[in-house]
Amino acid sequence: MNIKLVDVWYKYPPSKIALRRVSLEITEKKTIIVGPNASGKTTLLKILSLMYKPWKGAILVGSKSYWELDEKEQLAIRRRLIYVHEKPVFIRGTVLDNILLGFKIRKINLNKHEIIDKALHLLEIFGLEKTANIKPRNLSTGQLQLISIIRALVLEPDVLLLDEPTANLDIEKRKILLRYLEEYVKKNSGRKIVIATHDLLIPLLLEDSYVVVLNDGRIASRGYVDEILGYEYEKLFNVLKKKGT
Amino acid sequence: MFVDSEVVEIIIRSITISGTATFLASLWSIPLSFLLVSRYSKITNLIMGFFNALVGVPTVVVGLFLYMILSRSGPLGFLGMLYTPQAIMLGEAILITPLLVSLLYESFHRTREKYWELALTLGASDRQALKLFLLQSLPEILVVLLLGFSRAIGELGVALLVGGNIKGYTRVMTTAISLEVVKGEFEKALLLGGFLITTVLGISTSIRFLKGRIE
Ligand SMILES: Nc1ncnc2c1ncn2[C@@H]1O[C@H](COP(=O)(O)OP(=O)(O)OP(=O)(O)O)[C@@H](O)[C@H]1O
Ligand SMILES: [Mg+2]
Repeated sequence: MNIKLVDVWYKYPPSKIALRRVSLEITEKKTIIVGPNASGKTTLLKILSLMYKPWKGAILVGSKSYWELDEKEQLAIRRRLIYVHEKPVFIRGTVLDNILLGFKIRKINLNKHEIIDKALHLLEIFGLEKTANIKPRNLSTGQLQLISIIRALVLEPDVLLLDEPTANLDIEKRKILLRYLEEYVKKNSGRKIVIATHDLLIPLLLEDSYVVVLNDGRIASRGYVDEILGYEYEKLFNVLKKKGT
Repeated sequence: MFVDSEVVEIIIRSITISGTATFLASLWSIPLSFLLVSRYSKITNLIMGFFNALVGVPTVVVGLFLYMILSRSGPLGFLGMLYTPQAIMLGEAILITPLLVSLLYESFHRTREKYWELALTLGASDRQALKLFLLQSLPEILVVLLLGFSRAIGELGVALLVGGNIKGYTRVMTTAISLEVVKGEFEKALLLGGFLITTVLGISTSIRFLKGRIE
């Protein structure tokens, strides 16, 4: 699945412009979006996940302009991407209810046991198997973050968009998550991940990732990690340092 | 103390009338609040300012206003609704609308975006997203409706002015109490007052219970 933003602007009502003329094609398996607070990372992910409609500009999915499609076509495309919030949201019920929510919404009639097994397996990978029947409000921030990522992973999206996935994770969990994501994109040639983060370990640990640097709603620079690692990466560090991130 | 059949009838009538009024008000207050939250624009604040200002409007003023509209020479006089239970229902529904809209708006404002986005990103259509949002908001909606019911069943101005306190027809707890006091029948007034307080306390207890479940 190929997503391409062409001269995209985004404006929060009534007048806050958050993205300015962003053109970006998600061609790589792993794309990392970095940049200071309020630079527009979350907004960009929400645009890429087809949840927000651009103020100006177009989004091409394959050869089609997404926002000109009819509702049914949009939904079919939208179901192939999942965005995971930086502040996860849960419904009432248990962790398992939450992880299975996507299946319920999509009315997928897979074998119920199979889905639950899959969910439990994912929980186990992240050391959360004991939380399946607990209410989310009784869990820690990091645990919740992982559960919201699992809720997306269990649906096996083509494109997974993660907003600050490691912000509350310890080193161990961070490694497990990144290793899992690395495997996830390898398993199927169509899969891609896009991560917005302040965690500079991510572009370093995820091999061959493509880095997009945002600043004040604009793409300040972009390139593969090792290209950008030199001058641009230093500049990024300086930007981050100056902004006190 | 005596609980005669008239008292029982009055209590049942009060609950029916105020319950229907709350239900009526919810029919327009819930969609309106949702619309105001999801189509945010500059006039939203203006509209909300208007509703907030009207939350504490004196019940007699609403009663008077409705009386003028429903009285024989008023614009809706031909309906013949004055001094009917339906008139009280309509009046109480109007009375509690600003309260419902203000509270629902606040609640929806806090939760709409997050549930909406959660539903969308997991592959929901707009209709499914609305369903998920309403389902998740149900306890809060119930709390607000109970508060509205509380205000409706405890008010006197509307019931008296457009209901007329007709025995066996439009007499409700509050109008009955005021009448019994005027007649000097304090025992009956106290009995009804006791029931009214019990109802209102019962409601606030259920609200506390529901709020505990929302967390
Ligand atoms: N709901 C909103 N309404 C109005 N303005 C918003 C809203 N959400 C974000 N903004 C503004 O848009 C700009 C970009 O915000 P965004 O959340 O995309 O930044 P970010 O790069 O994700 O920041 P962070 O690193 O803190 O998560 C900011 O200036 C922010 O104030
Ligand atoms: Mg962000």
